[in-house]
Amino acid sequence: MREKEYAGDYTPMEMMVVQASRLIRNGDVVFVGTGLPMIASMLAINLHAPRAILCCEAGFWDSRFIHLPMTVGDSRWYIGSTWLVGQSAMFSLLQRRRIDVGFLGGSQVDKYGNLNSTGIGTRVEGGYYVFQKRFEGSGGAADIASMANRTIIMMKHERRRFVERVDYLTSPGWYVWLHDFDEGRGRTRLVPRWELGMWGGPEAVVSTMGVMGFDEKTKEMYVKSYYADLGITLEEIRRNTGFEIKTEGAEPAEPPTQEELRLLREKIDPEGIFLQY
Amino acid sequence: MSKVMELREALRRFLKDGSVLCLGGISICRRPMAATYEIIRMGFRDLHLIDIAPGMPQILLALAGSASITEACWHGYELFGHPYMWRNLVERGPGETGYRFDDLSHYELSLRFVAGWLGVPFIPTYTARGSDLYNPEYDNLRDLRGVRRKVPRKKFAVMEDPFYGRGSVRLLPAANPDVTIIHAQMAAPDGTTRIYGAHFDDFVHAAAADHVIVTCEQVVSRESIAKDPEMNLIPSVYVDAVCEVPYGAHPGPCLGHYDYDPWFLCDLVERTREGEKDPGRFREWLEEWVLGVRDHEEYLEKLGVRRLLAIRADPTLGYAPNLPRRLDRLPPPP
Repeated sequence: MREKEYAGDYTPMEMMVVQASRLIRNGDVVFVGTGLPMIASMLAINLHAPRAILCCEAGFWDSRFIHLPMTVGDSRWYIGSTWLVGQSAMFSLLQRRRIDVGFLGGSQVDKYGNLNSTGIGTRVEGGYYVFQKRFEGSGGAADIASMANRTIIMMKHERRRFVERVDYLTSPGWYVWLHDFDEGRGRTRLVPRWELGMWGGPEAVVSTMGVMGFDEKTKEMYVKSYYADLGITLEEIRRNTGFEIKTEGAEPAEPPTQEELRLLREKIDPEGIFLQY
Repeated sequence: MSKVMELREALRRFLKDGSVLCLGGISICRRPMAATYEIIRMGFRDLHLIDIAPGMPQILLALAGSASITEACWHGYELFGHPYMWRNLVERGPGETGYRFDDLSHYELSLRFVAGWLGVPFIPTYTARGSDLYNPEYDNLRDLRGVRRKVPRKKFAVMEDPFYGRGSVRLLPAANPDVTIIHAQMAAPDGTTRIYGAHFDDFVHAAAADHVIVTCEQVVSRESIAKDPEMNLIPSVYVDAVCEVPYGAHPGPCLGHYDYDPWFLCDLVERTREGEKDPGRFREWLEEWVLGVRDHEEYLEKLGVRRLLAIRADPTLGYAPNLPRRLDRLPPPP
């Protein structure tokens, strides 16, 4: 076997896309929005997962677009799609467990993979819930997190984003805070998702510093690999994580190959719309 | 019977202060933008917006003071930028602003419209279990429940599956907007509506509503739209008004006709970004492009032929393949 040729010069964003792409298996039905997850899925389809199917919440199925879509409803998705359907039908694929992998992001993640893309500093004031800082909101994230067979989280690795407990739990991870409806307001307890009858769960967090997995027993996040080639150390990951994170056994991540980078730069996002060359 | 009328007349007939309003399309794509501008111009107040995948029009209606309630899952412009000013409105909270935003998920909203379409009062689902969307403390419509028209008495209910014993399900209340407005490529005078490309569940939006206004690029004859009837999405029975409004989804795209107007979108987002510090910057924009403009025709004249040609779609692709899309390096506007 010929030795793989690794690229020497690449950005953390490209590294994230490459790492996420390698988590997609051939034949996966992948539920994406736009942005880096879409780029990562296209890379997988071009390399090791030609039978993967990309679908997006706006209703486009298995699109082989020739220009990169900028938004979920972009006309560019239309060309080369084999099916077009409304959102209720597309999301029902999740409820029928037909979506193998969904991508998620957010402003906060905790050690169980719970995500917050709604707002930070959440509090109830005068009978209303308000935020110190409000974000775009769930969109389909809560649906994907609760009903895809597995999920991949892509996040910027910062201490304020990797937190002990999310300020608002938009998208459920492995253990969630359950609100007891009959026992009065505000009573919450931590329960594993399977006790709620939920399937799926986060498989990995691909960050700007490394790739994290979730321990099979405790379901707590640990470092699987780190971007040593980009100068990232395990110490740096621990420093940028707001909770105790296990790093034993973590390995340097495999850098992008020249082929992966060539596809990203020349075929998938040649204009740098998302990768911003 | 012809349902063709002026947009203003359609809004005057079917929309009222306090109406529950749904707008078709998704995010910034194929949204009834000309109708949104007209709603702001006509000075409607206290609107209750409910949408599966909101974005640009809902943000504008909130910032212009036309809407006082929004039930939605998301607000933004995707790659074009964050929902500036709107996020401040939500951060300050209903107690201070009088504007209530209540969070749901995309699929929850889809299902609520499906229930509305089917004519049943609620629908069960497994979605979003474990999410704070179901946190009983987080319900910004709590004091309106059972009080205000068309606000369901509860945000959701929980019940055990009585048929197969498959555990507990959440029940979601049906959504039946007073008015749904959809922008389509074409419609016939009787209301039959055809949408090319993704229809973003606009059939469900229409079928769940009490009244439907369709704005379209072109009004065509019944004979013309009856060719390939399987291409038609919404039958005449649901539609009350048909308004010919070319470029009615501008600055968003409409497949087969035009693409995004990246210059307009970037300017709008930038004005709202500046507006977080100086709200006057957004009010100037609103005055320039909405309030100070007589109607959609004047809006198009103001945009100019060069701009409209620059975003014109390639007839086979359906979009403008040479549109500048590197937003950080946009050339000057044509």
